[in-house]
Amino acid sequence: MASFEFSDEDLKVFFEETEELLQAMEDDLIGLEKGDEVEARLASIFRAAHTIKGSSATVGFTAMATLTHSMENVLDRLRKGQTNVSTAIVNHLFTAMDVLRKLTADAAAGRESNEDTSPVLGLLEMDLEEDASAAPAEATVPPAGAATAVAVTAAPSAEAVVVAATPPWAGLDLDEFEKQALQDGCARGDTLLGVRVEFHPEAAMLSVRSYQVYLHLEEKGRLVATRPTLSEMEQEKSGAVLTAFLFTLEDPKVLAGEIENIGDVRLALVEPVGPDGLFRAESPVLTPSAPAAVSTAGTAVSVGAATPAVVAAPRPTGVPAARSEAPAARSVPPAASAESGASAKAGMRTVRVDVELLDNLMNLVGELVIDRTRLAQSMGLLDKAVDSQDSDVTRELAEATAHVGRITTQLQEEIMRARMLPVETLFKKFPRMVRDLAQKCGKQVELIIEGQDTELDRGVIEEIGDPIMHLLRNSVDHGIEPPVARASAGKPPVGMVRLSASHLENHILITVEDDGKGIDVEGVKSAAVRKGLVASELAARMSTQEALQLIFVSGVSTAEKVSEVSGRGVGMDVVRRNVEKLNASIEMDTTVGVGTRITIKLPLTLAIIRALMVQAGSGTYAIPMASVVETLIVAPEELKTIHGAEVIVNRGQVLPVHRLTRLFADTCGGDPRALVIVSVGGRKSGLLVDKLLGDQEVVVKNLGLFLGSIPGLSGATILGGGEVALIIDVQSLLSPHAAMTAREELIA
Amino acid sequence: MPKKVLIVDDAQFMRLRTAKLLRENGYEVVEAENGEVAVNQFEAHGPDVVLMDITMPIMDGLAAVKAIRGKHPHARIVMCSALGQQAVVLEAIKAGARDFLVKPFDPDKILAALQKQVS
Repeated sequence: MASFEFSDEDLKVFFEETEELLQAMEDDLIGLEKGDEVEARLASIFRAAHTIKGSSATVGFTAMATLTHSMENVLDRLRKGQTNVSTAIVNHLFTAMDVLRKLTADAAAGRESNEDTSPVLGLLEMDLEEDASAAPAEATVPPAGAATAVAVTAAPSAEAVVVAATPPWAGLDLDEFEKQALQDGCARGDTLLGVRVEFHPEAAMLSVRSYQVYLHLEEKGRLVATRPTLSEMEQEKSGAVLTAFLFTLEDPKVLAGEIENIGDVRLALVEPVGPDGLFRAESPVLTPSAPAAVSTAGTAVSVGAATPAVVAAPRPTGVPAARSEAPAARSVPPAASAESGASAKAGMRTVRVDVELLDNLMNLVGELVIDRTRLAQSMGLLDKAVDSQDSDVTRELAEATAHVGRITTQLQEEIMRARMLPVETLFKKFPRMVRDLAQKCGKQVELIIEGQDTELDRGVIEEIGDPIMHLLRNSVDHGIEPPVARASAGKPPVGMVRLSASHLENHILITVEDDGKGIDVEGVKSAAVRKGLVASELAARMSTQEALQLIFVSGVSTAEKVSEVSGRGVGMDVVRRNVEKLNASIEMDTTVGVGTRITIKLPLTLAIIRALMVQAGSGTYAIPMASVVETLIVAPEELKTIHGAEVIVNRGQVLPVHRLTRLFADTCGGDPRALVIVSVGGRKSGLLVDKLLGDQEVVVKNLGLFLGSIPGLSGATILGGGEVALIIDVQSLLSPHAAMTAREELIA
Repeated sequence: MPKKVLIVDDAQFMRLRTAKLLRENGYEVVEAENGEVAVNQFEAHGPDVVLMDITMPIMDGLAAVKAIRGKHPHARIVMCSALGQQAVVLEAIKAGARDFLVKPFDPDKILAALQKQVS
């Protein structure tokens, strides 16, 4: 058997498609378990398993094909209502899916999989055996796909030869009705043909093949009897041989040729017979070409001389090549390439692009954005320097510059759009996680997902997954109460966790909300005091918002005991770190007994941010606009010092003030006149700088491996003039810790 | 004139494979990812042969055969089936499908089955 050759591109499509199907399967399994649209879901899971089976068998991933075949058997029984959907079966299907995922991952990585499929095959087999008595025939389908074909085949070729040696139709067990029809027809003088068809022993779906022969014969005359009968074919009880009687005026040789043209037919014998089912004396003459055919077939030789049979181009199993190659060669038309090109155009509107290519494009466009700024600045200088008589040239240049600027902006927007992915790609993995978690914790949880179509830069999506996972874990493990506790609190036993994404101006809001027991603010405070993170007097004076910020400090957990799932007090710390890395902010809202809502406010992209450019000492800095509240020009006397810490009174609030030069140990001095009010976790502080340079879009560049991650800095950018400006990470620069210390000093 | 084949399969991978094979062998290819699209594509392109998958979302292969044959009694449709789908294939043949193939596909068999339909 010839096989397809697969390029890496083909396999990539296979793996991507399989991954999509597995995801769909997972979603449907979760829905299935909830009892939600059971029929449609079963059909969809079945289809997914079926498609994976077909594709993986084609590629030659036998383990995947075998496993999906097994799943299909179980699903088929569920679909037909022969087995009920139980938690056990759903769990088995989940397990099977996980094994499939691993097999896919191993295959995709090009490594030999050491995944053992036998345990899960055993589980699925077990599911099939349950209620086996109800439908024994269905349950005994062997798991290995290829093996079925052989099992179906009744007559191996050796046996077929023996049968063919005696007139096959003579011993046919006809019923009274059939015998009567034969006699009546012969009495009228109609020509009766006996037909014997042998199929390739390894051929699949012999009932369909038999039916195709049946259809053909029926079309050609009056079909009196067939073995197998039509109902046997419909019950899928056909073997490798079909015999039939037919009143017809067709030429036996032509008819044999036609039958032979039906797939998997190895041999077709058609000859006139008498009403008793025996050959008639006046048999047609054997055609000159036939003897050769008979001898190559080797099966009908004994019929040969005594009873001339028409043997139509027998196709012994050994030599299929000549036949199958010929049509391929013959069918090549001269204009093949042009035609296929045209049809390909019609079918494709999307292309798959490597992520790396998108990243490169984004980088290049980032450079363009820098140059755009540079060009604009140079234009400004040129405008001033050049005499008015040259103004035509300048105007021309100015127009071109402006145009390049606009195009660059558009290009940047388009590329950013190309990098956007719906958050669905991320959210889709959560239903399964929440389900498993709820099962482990003994809780009932419904996860509601909203705004899946909301699009985010793929860089952001990669980074935000872990924080969301932590938040969901917390909601299920700590937020949602066990069913009994919920019932006694007058809540529905099934807890609700809502994960949603939405647009808000230039930001994406991701919200994780639950209707659980809420966060006990006093509990958080005392835990923080117990761990020595906050002084008890300070804790007592903290506002709710401030106390909630403590949750993000490593080591604070109010969970009484550490569970398998969470409660070690590290989760929220990780959440905060990851969220900060993204230039995002996090807000928390909780009511004891009612629930908790956590909102993450994300920038649309990580690659380009809007920033306020400031001058401080010898450096130029970029402060992300996301954290800027307002800017002030301050006179030195407006700054007050309380216990060695500088503060300013702004709109009736006392705000701590930090000199940027001091924070970065810049000894250049400078002349601080401007104050940038920034907000961190809802708390405002002032950053004292020399000069405000205006706001602009900056392309974020990593500081690189040499510098690594520096607290207070999130990266650098190149300005229009070519100089480098450092991008300030306000959150880590003025972490709640630092702010709290300042406040502590203040209060003390 | 190259013969036109409509490949109907919800698995993109299978369509891709088959399309490549057929183009290499001089066929013109049109694709559809489910039965409903197949019915429309049939109307739009009038293919010489349809390679029809059975298990598909929205409209399965059997329904598509019925829909196509209902309007075009001479449509040549070859079912692409898997082992265990004998009953459906039988139904499809009854509904007018000409032939069937069993997955995993052997390229030679696909070409032979198509050749049989177009010659």
